[in-house]
Amino acid sequence: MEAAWVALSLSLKVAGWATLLNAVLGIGVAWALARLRFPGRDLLDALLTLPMVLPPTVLGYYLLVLIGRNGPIGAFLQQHFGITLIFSFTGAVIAATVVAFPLVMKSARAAFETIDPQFEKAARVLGLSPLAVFFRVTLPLARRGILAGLLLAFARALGEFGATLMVAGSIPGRTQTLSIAVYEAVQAGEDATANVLVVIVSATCVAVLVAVGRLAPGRSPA
Amino acid sequence: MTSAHQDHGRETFVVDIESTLHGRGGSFALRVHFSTTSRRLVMRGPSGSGKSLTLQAIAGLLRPQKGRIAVLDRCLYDSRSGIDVPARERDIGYLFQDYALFPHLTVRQNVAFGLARTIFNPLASVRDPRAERWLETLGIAALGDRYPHQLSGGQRQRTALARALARTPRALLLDEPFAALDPALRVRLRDELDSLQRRLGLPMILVTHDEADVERFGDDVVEIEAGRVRLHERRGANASLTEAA
Repeated sequence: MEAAWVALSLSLKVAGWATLLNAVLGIGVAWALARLRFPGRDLLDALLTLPMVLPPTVLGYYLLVLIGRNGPIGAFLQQHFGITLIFSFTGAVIAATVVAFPLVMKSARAAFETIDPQFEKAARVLGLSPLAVFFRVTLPLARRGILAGLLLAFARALGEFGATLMVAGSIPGRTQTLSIAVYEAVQAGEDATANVLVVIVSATCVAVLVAVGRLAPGRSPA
Repeated sequence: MTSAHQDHGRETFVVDIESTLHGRGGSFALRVHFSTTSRRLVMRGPSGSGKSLTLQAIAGLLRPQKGRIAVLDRCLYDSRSGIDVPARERDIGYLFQDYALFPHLTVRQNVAFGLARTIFNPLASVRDPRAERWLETLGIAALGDRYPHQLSGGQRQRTALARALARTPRALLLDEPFAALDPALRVRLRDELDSLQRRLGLPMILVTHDEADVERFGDDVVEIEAGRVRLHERRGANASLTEAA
């Protein structure tokens, strides 16, 4: 039973980091896609949405090609900094981040695009720099959509299995997240452990979905 | 030019812009040229004629392809010498048609919005005397802690006006400021704006459909149609009155 709590705390850490990284990356990219006009914008959007539709194993394979020992990024980090990403906690975080990224990007972009441009114009006329306009007007007005996206990303990262297994493996206490522990428990015939793990995952996901539902547009702020 | 205008010497607004805008319904050519020495100018014309676009160009929210814009002898845009002062440095007050009050901020925070230029909004509890003064002047001090959705149309308009004036702008642009109000309130707020403008001597351009606005504020009346100035009428009497005030 001890193993279940180790796996849960590891999953929460991985999902927490993945959500934090996506809060920066996902919101930043979403803003660029919503506000800037540049060639190849639609293609970039499609490419960045891929993790949502590709099989996680395919994603895991791409990640191995990129950050594996012989991959361009993996080899560089290994050679210059002695860092190995695969079969590590960092590898698990990277896999979860990539898989959950489109959820934040999509919600944040939709939230940015529904803001009436008059508010940003008013802020510019009132003397604000573009950065100040973003933090004082754009971000607060998009906060509900962004928060909903972050919660979904957290749930998605928490449940991530395929890509994580391929990139980070299943090392108890280091990379064996909750969903991988379920798989291992069932394989080993440890039904009691599997039951506990499954209940924990389900309860967490229900809690997240209820929270997302409360943030949905159309419902008045509490 | 009539002598009354030349007396004052200094041009309040110089607008000489050309721009072709491409939208879904095809392209729209904006060719607006006028200049004035009076402090109250009304721009009128049918909707979609380019009045609001002209205001946006003066405020720096729309960059024309070529031309020149100056307010009180300060050049804000000149395509030939490559001058294009960003909107945030133009010191122009702008009253948007539906006021564009920030829905996530209280009345007090809205009015104080332009006073600090950091990346943080002013706190709801902080009282900046510069903002308090305008809350008092416009009679909305008691509403300081309310949010825009809790205000009536007239209160919103006053808040938007206080927000624009708190930064002590060099000029004020108003886009149909009374359109969203019921007729009785319109009359009252028109009087208030009139006396406030006279007291401050603030140069202003008011965009409207309403003949009563033209009567009241039209020292200069510029009629815009299909992106061009159709008529520029100077009504001297009012102008000299304003300049004496």
